[in-house]
Amino acid sequence: MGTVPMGRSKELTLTLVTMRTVGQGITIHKKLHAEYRENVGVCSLSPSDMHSLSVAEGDTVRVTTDGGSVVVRVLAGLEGIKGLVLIPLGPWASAVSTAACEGSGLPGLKGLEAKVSRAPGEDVEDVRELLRRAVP
Amino acid sequence: MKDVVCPYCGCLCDDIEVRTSGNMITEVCNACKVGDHVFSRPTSRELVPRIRVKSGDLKDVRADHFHDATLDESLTQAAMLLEKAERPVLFGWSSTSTETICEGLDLAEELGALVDNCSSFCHGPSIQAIQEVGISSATLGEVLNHADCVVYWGSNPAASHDRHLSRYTVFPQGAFREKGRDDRKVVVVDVRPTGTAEVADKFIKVRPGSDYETLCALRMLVQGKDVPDPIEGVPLDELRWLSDTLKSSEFCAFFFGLGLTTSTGRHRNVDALLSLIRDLSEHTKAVVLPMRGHYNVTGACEAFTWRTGYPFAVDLSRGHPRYNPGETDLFPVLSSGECDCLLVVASDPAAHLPLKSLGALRRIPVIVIDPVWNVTSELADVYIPCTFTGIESEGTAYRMDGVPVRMRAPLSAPGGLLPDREIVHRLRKEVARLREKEPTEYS
Repeated sequence: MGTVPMGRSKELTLTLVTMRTVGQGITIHKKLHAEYRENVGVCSLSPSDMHSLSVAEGDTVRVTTDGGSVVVRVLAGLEGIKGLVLIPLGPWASAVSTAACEGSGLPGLKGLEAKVSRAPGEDVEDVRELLRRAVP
Repeated sequence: MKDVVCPYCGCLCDDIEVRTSGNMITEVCNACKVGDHVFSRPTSRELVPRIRVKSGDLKDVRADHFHDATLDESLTQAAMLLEKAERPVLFGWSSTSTETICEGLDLAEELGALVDNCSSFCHGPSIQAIQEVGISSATLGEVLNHADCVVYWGSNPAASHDRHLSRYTVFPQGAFREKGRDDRKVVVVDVRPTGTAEVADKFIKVRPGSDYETLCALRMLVQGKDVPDPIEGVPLDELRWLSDTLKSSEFCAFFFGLGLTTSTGRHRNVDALLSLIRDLSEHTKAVVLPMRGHYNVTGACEAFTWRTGYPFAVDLSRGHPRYNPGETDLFPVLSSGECDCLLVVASDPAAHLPLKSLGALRRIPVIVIDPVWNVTSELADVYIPCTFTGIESEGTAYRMDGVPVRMRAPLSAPGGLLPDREIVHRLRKEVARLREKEPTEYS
């Protein structure tokens, strides 16, 4: 286990917000393809949160909520906001969404507390791998 | 071909031009980046139905294998699965034609099924709020011609409805807004400065989960009451500016997205926004529209309502329609273990349900009718491919403002594929045949 530099954290507690992206839209009919994973199995973090976690664009991070845990890649070009981890709607966001429906039939997709940590050596699962662990 | 309608989002842009060669689209004009990709369709595509042969290992979908089947074989298999189910659920109906949706509602009546559409994953809470409060709404044409103040709250059309601003709300000239963009004020309220915020006159940042409080404070300001400073991190000056701007406008139009419906508060957030519109109507003309995502999810709600009285989450198992969001949507009936057979048409719920709940789909028969092999198809027992509505077959869809649009078909059906309308119709006939009775004519 490597040491964490001064001012850096192994793990941050952020707020998960799901979102729509153009990349998600243009790959909507290719969900079993690598292109979809590259566009949707991603997240956006603020530069300061990336600095705190010692991650750069293209690195993988693990996002964990009460709903589950998933590895996603930090993507460049999205609007990162301090304190938020943004994930496009799709199977990777669904891996950490919760069953709390608040009187509707809609699972919890925004405003969830999420632990975010570096995931060196871990790759983003593809859709079939995610499905494989859906059955307990 | 001119005046082609884009089958992607609720904008239903009907000014698309496509050039074709040999039943392929070679050029697309006027579409947004996503629309351009939608018309290109996937190059590798299933053209024959498939039936799953399970390995017995529930944990590993890859251990199963599929065999190709004829359409008749796959319809018989699907009908048998649906017919013997005690609690069948028919879900989707949002990326297809309204004619297909009506066939689906006929099938639901035949089976006594629970029938639900994608609203339960997006604007279901909006519909719940509209039923509580009522809605002052407008067509996008009215917004284009009249609106001098446009507000996007919890919605980022720059990513989800790319031409919404350029075609309907912000940039085009209107009958009473001759200077187009210069005649309108644009405000974005969101938890982050989105792409849409970049073209706004004002961006107001709210904390995640604080939309309800912010909207209630804005209502109080519109009503002339005092509120503390700040409200959930939003400086009072910003809210006061917004209140004054709205009240002094001639026609303000609000558009809201999943930022309100999927965050803390759900339908209560939308309730507060609709109530704000009612308050503003004391001072000016104010309207509000949900930013519907799938291109015909609005049509699904229309057809469900005119056929059953309810827009989504309709349970027909008692012989009459019953509607109770939170109980009769797909997710609750799936996670409770009630659903014992699922038919999915023109949707991909497995990509959007919480991952932990997908185990339920491995334990029950799943039938998928869709133009492409998607995440739900990976879990399907029967997969039946169909044409792309709006590209390879015609149909009617409803724009997000409730305006019906006839969709053209610039291409012919590849490989003898049928429209999902015809497949669902045949499926209903097959269910009736198994029950040894004539299919009921509902329409």
